[in-house]
Formats: sequence, structure tokens, C-alpha cells
Amino acid sequence: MQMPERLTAEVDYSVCKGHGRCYMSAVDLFDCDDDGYPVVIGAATTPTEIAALERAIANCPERAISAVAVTPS
Amino acid sequence: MTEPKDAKSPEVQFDFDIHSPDIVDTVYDVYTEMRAKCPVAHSPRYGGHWIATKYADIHEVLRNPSVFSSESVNVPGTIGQDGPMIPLEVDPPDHGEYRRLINPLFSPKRMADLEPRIRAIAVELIEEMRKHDKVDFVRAFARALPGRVFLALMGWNPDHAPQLNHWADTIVLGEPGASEERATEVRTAAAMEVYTYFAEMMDERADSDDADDITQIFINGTFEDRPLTQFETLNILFLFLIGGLHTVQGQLAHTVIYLAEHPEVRRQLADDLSLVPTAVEEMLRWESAVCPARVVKEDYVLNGVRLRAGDKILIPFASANHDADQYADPDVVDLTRDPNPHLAFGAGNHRCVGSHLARLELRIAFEELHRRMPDYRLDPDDPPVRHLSQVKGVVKLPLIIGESA
Repeated sequence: MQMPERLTAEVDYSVCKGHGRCYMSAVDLFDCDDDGYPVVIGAATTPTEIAALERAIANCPERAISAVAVTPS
Repeated sequence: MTEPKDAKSPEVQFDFDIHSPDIVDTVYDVYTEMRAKCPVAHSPRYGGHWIATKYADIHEVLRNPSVFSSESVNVPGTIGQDGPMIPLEVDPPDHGEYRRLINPLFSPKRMADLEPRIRAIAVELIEEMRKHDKVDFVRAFARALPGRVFLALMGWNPDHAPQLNHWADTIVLGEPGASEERATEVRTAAAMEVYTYFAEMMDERADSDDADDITQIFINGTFEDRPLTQFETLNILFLFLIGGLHTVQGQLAHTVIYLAEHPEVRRQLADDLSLVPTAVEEMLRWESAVCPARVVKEDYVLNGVRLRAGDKILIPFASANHDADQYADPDVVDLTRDPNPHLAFGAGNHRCVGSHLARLELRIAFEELHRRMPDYRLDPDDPPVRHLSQVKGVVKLPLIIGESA
């Protein structure tokens, strides 16, 4: 049986400038720290979550976010 | 390989004046023409400067601070400030050191704590407007809200709002129609009054024992290991004033003009306030007020055009956000547009530090206006008056309340 795809966000913090578009677009996947930078809090498995992650990636004005497939262990 | 064009190339020449009253209503058409004909254009104005108009080029400039310095962000070179506006006109590495101090002051979490106060101010202003058949929306709301929010943030007397707004408007606009010399004179005089006012406010609150008070945070603030100087603190506050008041004022007024002229879009929003977050982003894209400049520090080829060290380049965010190579139907407002990675708050190191506060003010204003005052229209006999400059805005917006176009 094929395992469901599981995607997690990777933030390039050398590029991220704390716009906050990701934690506005995908509240289940990102939170913000006290300075306004994102913290990845979850992985996307359902189509809704994956769509939210894709929106977060596309909304980032710095192009700082990428999706990384996680292999279930 | 084609040789890059340069400032002498005939095909890059474009007479563009960011302060010209003549293009205030047509500036988007001007940007469209420039994006098509000469995306990196050279204007003879203000001693000669460049203008980049494509999203990709503006993005490249914003994210390359070692070539494109922020040491002077204005054309002409001053708006009356005494020393650099901090941290806007400071380059890395010092810039990062200041931002470490300032970012937490405007963090989303700190802003969320302000939400009830911002909402109370917005509701009070809207309820006052509703008592009238016709108001000047700029005076009654767009100018009043960010001024009072700034004072709430600082913990200073809310009665100072009209004076603060007056200073901010004067510094941004100079004296419209006057000579460049006269405009600089008026701006400098207003800036000096602002510094004096800020120094008084700092003195007044120097002994307050509230550690969360922004005044205290500055008094205790450090740059590397030394305390902030008064000069630094005053120039940070100066930037808060310039960045926070006129910008939000323009954004609110431009949005209300659009929604007054497009009742079907306004009803879509009023009927479904869950659209507010994407609507806020779309209106930020649609009317991006800010057009900063950068100083070129080394020879650099941008989109086939050679810029020289010492040149100045304007980067109108509004033009980036109407670029058809970035956006489908850029000249259509779509309140559900998503994704929408607009550059209204810039990008790179100098991403607007107040963006989280601005978004909160806009979100609350969009919600409360359309919950409490869903119908309004322009007065054809008394149309709105806009202005250009490096922070595009609206001088006056006569609005008829309770009727729809």
C-alpha cells in the first residue's frame, strides 16, 4: 500500500523577512514567534492542508518557503 | 551578446516626475507604458534618476542591499529629516541591529493586544460619520484612525492626533505646487517641530515604570552594547510617524474610492466579511502607496541596462503590483485573489516594519465600515482629490453616507 504524501514546509531564514503571509495563509502549518518570524508547527497531509501549504509558498514575497516530502518511518 | 543600454541610450529616456500633479490620475497608465517600452527608464528630473517598473526588477533591487543602498530613499534627497531615518536609511549590518530592537515592537502578537483599542477607535469614528449625510472621509476617518492608533501604541495623549497628522502630511507632501526649495523649507520646519515634540514626550515619560511602554523600551534600548542615543531614538520615531500615518490614510481612502465606485464589489464584501483578509491584500496590491528610491553603490546591469555607482533609482511598488507578467488581470480587483505576493510593504531587509499594524488597522476598518456603514457613494459634484509624491494619497474624499452609486 502506498503511504499518503506528507509534506512539510522548510523556511529559508536567511531570506525570510517576517512578512507573515505564511502564518496568515496556513494557520495549521505555521505559527509566529515573538519577533514575527514563522515557526513550522505541522505537516500537510490532507488535500486541504496541501493546498494551504501551496498558498503559503506562493504568497511569500521573499520566496523563502519550500515543500519537502517526508517519508513516513 | 548585446551591450547593455545606459543612461545615454535614447530608448530608455522617459520624462517621469514622481511629484507631478499632472499624472496623479493617470500614473498607472504611465507605469504600464514604461513597463512595455522601457522597464528600466531614465528620467532627467531631480538631477537624473532611474525608474524600474517590472515586478521582477523591483524584487531584484529590493533583495540586493549591497548594490542598492537605502542610505537615501527620497527623490529629491531630503524630506526634512536631520540625519538618516532609522532603520530605513541604514544599510546592513547596522540595519539588522536596529531591526532586532524594533521588530518586537510591531510583532503580530503585540499588535493583537492592540486590536480592541484599534477597534474601539474605528467604531467611534464610524458612528460619528453615520450621524452625517456627507463627510470628508479623509478627515473623518482615514487620517484620524492611524494618528490615534499611533498615539495608542506610544501611550501618548490621543488629543495630539490632529497635530501629528498635520506634520506627517506636510513632511510627505511639502507644499504642493510650490518650488522644490520652498517644499524643502516647509518639510524641514515641520520635521524640526516633530523632533521637538518627540523629545518632549520622551522626557515626560522618562520616569514611567511601565517596562512595556515603548518610551521605556527606547530608553533601555541598546545598539550593540551601548545605549541608544537621543538622536537615534528621535530618528526612529520620525520614521514611525512617516511610515505609519500617511500610508494607512492613503490606503483607506483609495479603497473607499474604489468601493464607492464599484457597488457590486462593495456588496460582495459587506455580504461576506470573511473576505476581508484577501480583500485587504488585494487593495494593498491595487493601490500601493509607496515609491521608495535606492542609491546604486556599484555598476550593475539591471534587465539589460547599466546603472552606475552613485545613480539613484525609484522603485514604485504600485507598478510592480500591476505587472501582467506577475499577475493575471492585474487591472481587475478580485477580492478573493490568492496567491497575491504583492510588494506593497516592500521586500528584503527593509520590509515595512509596521506591516502587521497596518494590516490590522485595515482589516478592522474594512470590517467595521462594511458592517456599520455598508452604503456610501462619491459626490459627482465634489470629486475626491488625490496626490502623487513618493507616498501616493488622497487629500480629500467627500462621501455621501447611506446611499449607493
